[in-house]
Amino acid sequence: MMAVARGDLRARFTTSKGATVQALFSGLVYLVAFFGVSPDGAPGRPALAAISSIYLVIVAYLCAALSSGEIAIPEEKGLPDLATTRLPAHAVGWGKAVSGAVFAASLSVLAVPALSFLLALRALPPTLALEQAVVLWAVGWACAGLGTWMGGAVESDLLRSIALWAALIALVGLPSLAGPVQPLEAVQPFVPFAKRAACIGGAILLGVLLFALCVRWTDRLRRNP
Amino acid sequence: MGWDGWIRPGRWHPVTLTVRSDRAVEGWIVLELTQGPEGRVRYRRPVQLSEGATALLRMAVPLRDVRSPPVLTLEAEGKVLASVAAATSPRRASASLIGVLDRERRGFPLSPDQAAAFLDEGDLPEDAVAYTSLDFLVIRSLDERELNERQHAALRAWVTHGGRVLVADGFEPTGPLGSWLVSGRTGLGAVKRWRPSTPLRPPRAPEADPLQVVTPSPPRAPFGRAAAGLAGAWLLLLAALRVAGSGRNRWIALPIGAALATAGLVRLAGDLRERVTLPNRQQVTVVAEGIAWTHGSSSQISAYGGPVAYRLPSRSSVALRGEFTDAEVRQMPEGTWVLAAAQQPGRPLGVRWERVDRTTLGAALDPQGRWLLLEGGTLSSSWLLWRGQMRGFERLLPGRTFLDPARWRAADPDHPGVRAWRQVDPASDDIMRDHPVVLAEAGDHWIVLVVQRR
Repeated sequence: MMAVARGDLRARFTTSKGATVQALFSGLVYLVAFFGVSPDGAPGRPALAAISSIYLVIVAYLCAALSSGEIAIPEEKGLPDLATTRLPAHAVGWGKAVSGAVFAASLSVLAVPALSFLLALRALPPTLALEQAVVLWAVGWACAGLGTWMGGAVESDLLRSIALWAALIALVGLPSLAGPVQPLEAVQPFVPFAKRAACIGGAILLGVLLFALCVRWTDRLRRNP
Repeated sequence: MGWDGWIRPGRWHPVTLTVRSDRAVEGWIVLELTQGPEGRVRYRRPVQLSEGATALLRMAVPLRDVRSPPVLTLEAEGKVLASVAAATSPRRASASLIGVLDRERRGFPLSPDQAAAFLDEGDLPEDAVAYTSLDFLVIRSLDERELNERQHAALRAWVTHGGRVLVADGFEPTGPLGSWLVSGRTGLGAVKRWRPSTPLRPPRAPEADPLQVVTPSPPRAPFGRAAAGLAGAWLLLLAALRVAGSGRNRWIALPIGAALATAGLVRLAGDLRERVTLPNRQQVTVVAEGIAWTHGSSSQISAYGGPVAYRLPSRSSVALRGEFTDAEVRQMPEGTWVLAAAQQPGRPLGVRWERVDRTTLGAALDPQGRWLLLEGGTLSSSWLLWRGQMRGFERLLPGRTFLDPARWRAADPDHPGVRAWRQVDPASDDIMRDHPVVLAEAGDHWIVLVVQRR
């Protein structure tokens, strides 16, 4: 399991393409934060709300796109590649879960300073950024599960992209389809604890289901290569 | 609430809170009232009651919206023990109010736009500022034995600082206050004899808003410093990512880098926040006849909103203006007031406070303008203004200062002390026209001495 995770993380953190993706992501996070310096023209802190939503969308997309191969890092192996190895299916599936969790955590950690800055600028407790980061991590991890499974389940690049975007829109953008998870609401700084906890719990449950599906899919790929 | 239930919207009013309890209570009495377009303010004062006791608390508060009744609550140990909405009626609101001190409540001649509130001694406030909602106080009878020391001092302070009193024909003083009122030496106040058959005329022109605060222009966002700070944090995180990816156990570099970037950016945010929260604070103490009346005004606009807190002197009367939420004015155990409110982004928030105290400071001017006599203290940079002329002093020491006629020059209408005074006291121009005054800088505020002519 750890061999799969280490391989993915090595590809994402040490290769030039992986490092470029991280640099671009963090650059985008801090560029967006710069726009949050504009004075709030209205009550309700609309800039902070918009930026929190943008961060969620970026983290969700990057986690899903890197796991599915939409943003391909040559050294990273997807489910079809790993299905041809001798590694047990559960080691493949849960190894991917570990790498997805670490990668989502790294993106969330990169967003914490920017969120703290925007909160402190508005005299709000910067510790709220940690709560927001947990939502980013949980949703990012669920999206990594979605991307990993789609990387194995959908062969065509075009179809995979369409399916991935449709699923991301449904999960992140449409509260009615996301059920109690409602990530766009839960990532906002002022949300009742129950709502944030429901989102985090729902996203983790979804992630567990998706990575469990990846284990079964690895088996299936082995039986029907 | 108000003067026998009468209210002049937008002015300071007396409020008397009576609390009775059948058990011992140590808690808070909270008066909540509307003071802004969308904000209500809670005035919180500590209260201690023994079993079966009654507490009487008097204060001066601004009443603006008669349709929104004030709510009085008794709280102890975090629980609400009792709550009651005070009865206010739009029918008992008037733009011109006359207080009539008359136990017999005899008929009173009024013009249609005036209202009279009949009072007895117990209704008189303990804060001089509460009287400022009255155009006149008419005294037909006054039993000074019924007044406590604070009521006595408040009426005297109001009259000394410009209050208008009409003493009915046939009024006989029953103590020193009545004698002082009819003495003709009442500072800036106007005390006149009045025949009950003569109709009252309202003041010449409508007075300026006594709760006015000056609003600073909106601040500009500090984009340059923010860009530099964010770019620095990004570079730090890039370096941390590089270190984290360079070895098996170096992942710790990423959380450490993020923690350092967070600490730096939070500190920068605090600094930027101060730069884009523009305060405009004025405090002027007007001294007349040994009574110091401090007018304080502070307003600020914050680009991002957020909490605002002020500490105000003890025995101040405090009012808020502008757009705010969750505002509370709390009396601390040592007597000072702490104001806390949540400010709306980009919207002004104004605070007014008034405080009256006794002082030994005073000044007198020779009728020929040859010398100025200062008593009770030393003043730093000061200016004497009289008859459209002014002269400055580097320092004014107690005793006589001889005035060189060659050093007078035309008064500067934009003098910072005059500007500050005008901002907080609508009567400043009238006082300057009728009396010599000394303007003195005292740290971050101004002292105005109304000079007697001897």
